[in-house]
Amino acid sequence: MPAPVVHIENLRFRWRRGDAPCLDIAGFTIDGGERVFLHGASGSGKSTLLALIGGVLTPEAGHVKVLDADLTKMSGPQRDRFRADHIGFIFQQFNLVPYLTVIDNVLLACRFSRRRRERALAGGATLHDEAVRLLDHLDIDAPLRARPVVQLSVGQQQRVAAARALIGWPELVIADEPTSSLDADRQAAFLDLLVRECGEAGVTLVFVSHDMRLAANFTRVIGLASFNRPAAEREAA
Amino acid sequence: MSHLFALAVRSAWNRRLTLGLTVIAIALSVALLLGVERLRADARESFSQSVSGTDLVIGARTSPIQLMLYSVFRIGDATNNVRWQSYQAIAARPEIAWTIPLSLGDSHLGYPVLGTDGAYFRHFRHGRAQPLEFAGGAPFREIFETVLGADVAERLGYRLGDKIVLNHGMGDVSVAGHSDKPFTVVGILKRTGTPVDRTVHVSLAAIEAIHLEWQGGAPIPGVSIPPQHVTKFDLTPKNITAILVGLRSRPDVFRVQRYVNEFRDEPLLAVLPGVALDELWRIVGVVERTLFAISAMVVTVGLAGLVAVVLAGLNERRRELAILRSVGARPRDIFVLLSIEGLFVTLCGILGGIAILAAATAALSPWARTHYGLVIEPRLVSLGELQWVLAVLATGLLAALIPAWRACRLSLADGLTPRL
Amino acid sequence: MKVTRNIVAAALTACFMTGAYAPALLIAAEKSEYRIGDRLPQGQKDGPQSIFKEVAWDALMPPDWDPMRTLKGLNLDQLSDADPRAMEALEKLRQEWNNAPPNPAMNGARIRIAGFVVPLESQKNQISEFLLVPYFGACIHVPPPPANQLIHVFPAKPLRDIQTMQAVWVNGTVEAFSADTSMGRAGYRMKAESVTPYKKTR
Repeated sequence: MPAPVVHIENLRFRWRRGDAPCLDIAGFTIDGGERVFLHGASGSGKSTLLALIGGVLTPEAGHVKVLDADLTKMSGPQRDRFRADHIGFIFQQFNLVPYLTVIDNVLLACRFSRRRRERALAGGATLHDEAVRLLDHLDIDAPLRARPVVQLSVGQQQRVAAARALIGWPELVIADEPTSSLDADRQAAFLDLLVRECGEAGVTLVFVSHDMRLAANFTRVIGLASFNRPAAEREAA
Repeated sequence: MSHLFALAVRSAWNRRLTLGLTVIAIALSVALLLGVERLRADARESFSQSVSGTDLVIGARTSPIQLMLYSVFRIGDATNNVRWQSYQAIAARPEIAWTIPLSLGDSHLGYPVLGTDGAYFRHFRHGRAQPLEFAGGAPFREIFETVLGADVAERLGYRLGDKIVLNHGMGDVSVAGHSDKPFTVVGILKRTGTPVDRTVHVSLAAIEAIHLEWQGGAPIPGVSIPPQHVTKFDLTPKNITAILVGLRSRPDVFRVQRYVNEFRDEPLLAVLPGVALDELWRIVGVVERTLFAISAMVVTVGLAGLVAVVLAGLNERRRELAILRSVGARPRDIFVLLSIEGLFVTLCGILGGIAILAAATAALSPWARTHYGLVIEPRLVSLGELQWVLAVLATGLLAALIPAWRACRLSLADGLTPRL
Repeated sequence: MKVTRNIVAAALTACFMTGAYAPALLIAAEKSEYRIGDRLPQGQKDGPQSIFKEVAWDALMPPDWDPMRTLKGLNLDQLSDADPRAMEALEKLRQEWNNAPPNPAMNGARIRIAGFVVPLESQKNQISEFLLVPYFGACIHVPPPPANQLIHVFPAKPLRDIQTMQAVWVNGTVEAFSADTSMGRAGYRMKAESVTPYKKTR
């Protein structure tokens, strides 16, 4: 049985004192190699949960364990280092730094994490070559790579973001509604590419979206409301 | 850290249109600050180089500073003169080793004319006890001969053997010229970097000669004495403007000074050049410090502009900062990133300011030298100015810390999903 | 709330940044602490023992020379203000002072003495030759000191940032010339090994 990549226990989180908690989770586990499709209504706390798993936020109660490391016991810098080393992120839009080239955007992850840098170099190639390899797999060819980032279409930007999330073999990739800005035909194409790459690299994927049509590609489809009490109450209301 | 540095530079370059204006503002203000300092230092240097080895400067009783200004620096006018008899009495004192009589008041195309005698070329020193040297020719001997300072010869293109005409008064225009008595250039001095360079030197007798038909500042109508006849007249000067004095023993300076100050036949003043200069700097120092304070304010305004521009642009960078956080940048990295950006912009501004000042110095230096005898060395930046460069850099860093701090806090609050 | 916080931050920053230039502004015109005729208190006991023996200006006068002796025998109470004898006496006094002999015992002595600077030769804000006088304002408003109360000093290193009438300590070897020589008249000359600003100790 593969080891759990994400394990959450008794998590409680609220944004401001006095607010009702937006996340109240008794238990939630994601195993290695899974492709999880997480859905829920907007504002239900999906992004917050992702931020907690990524170690950007800390809960007021409970534990968040990623790869056997308890994030709630780490200091801020330690969580930042952990996130850099083990997790890749893809956002809905504006994924790229406008003043860097395509290749430099992809290599950003290696600048902040020595571990991913070394793993990217482990294949024997240079960092540049590794970035090119990933971009090729994601259908970003040489002419596109040479263009300034701001001139790429949204779909192309999302694919570059995916390459950045995957470079250096992180164990976990978190995608927060990455297809919501794409038009319908592009959505499917992006998803195929992403899923294939994650499979090849053995990366666990957590994919958040409100579009149920995309759920077919995933090994587990789960709604936030099913394990988060406040969301459930909201959906019931 | 090095990747943060590269990131900061490219980020700043990406916003070069808005930041560029800030860079220009900082550059101009730094040029002003360093310019004030450079002018101050070079002016002092110029003045103190102008006279050396002179124990006393004697003239009619005016203020010590005024006496120094017109007798040594040829700036301003003498209000009164020293009678020739007084000069002879003073020169006869046993304590005195040499005297140089000076007679000022005429000009040649804007350059002051100095009447003096051979003692000037023998005893006058400048800089570090440097004597006067000739680039060509020799001191004057006949009445209508002149020795030119280096700048006069160069600017007006005179060479040995040329003939020039002197003007009455210090004006630029050749009104009331002594055109009937031209002078021959018999000597040209080497450059000294002092007001000597812009002076036209003639003998004391020559000054008397060209004023023979003059009474009360204007020629007597109908009277004209041709040059070859002037020697028939007594050309001993009746009065002179000032006297430079060298003593046999320097500690005698107080004694002689007292003698001159209490001279019974005429109200006279004797000053120690070093002491008078110190007095000048004390007075000027207030103006210098005020100018410098104002310039420092202007630099602060420029840097405040930088802070404002970066702060204003922070909102649209929140997404970009979230991306950096997502790949593992710590809040501290964000802080460092923006600090480096601000420092980089300040540095560009400083370098621009140094360049502007260097260009301005190179352009204005010749004019300052020939019109005021003020030597401003064209250079990039001197050691004394470097400390102010570092001060501006440090202030720029402090200023950059404010938006850096703000960005850091924003980034912490935003997490991965800024609510824009 | 946010507005006031930003304003406070901005104000603090402006103060902070102006502070960087404070040193320039603080080098304000140092008004002299001395008045004309002031002498420096001698005999400061603090400070390390050095090979330079501290000396008061009085020691530079020969023990048998009295600066006021020409005025002795003149009953000043009896004279009116404009009496020519008073003027004569002053003239004689001045002559006496002009020729005041140095104390031969001081010749070659390594001494430490405090006085005021009158620059004789300076370039680039560095004084390479100066006169040391015993009281403030000695060349401006008051009569010059007697010849044995003046020292012609040649510092080993040119003085930086010292102004006219600044109070200094001078350490060096003093030579006393009792008669006029080809090098100069009778008086004191000193090669100074160090010249330091004089600090008033309360």
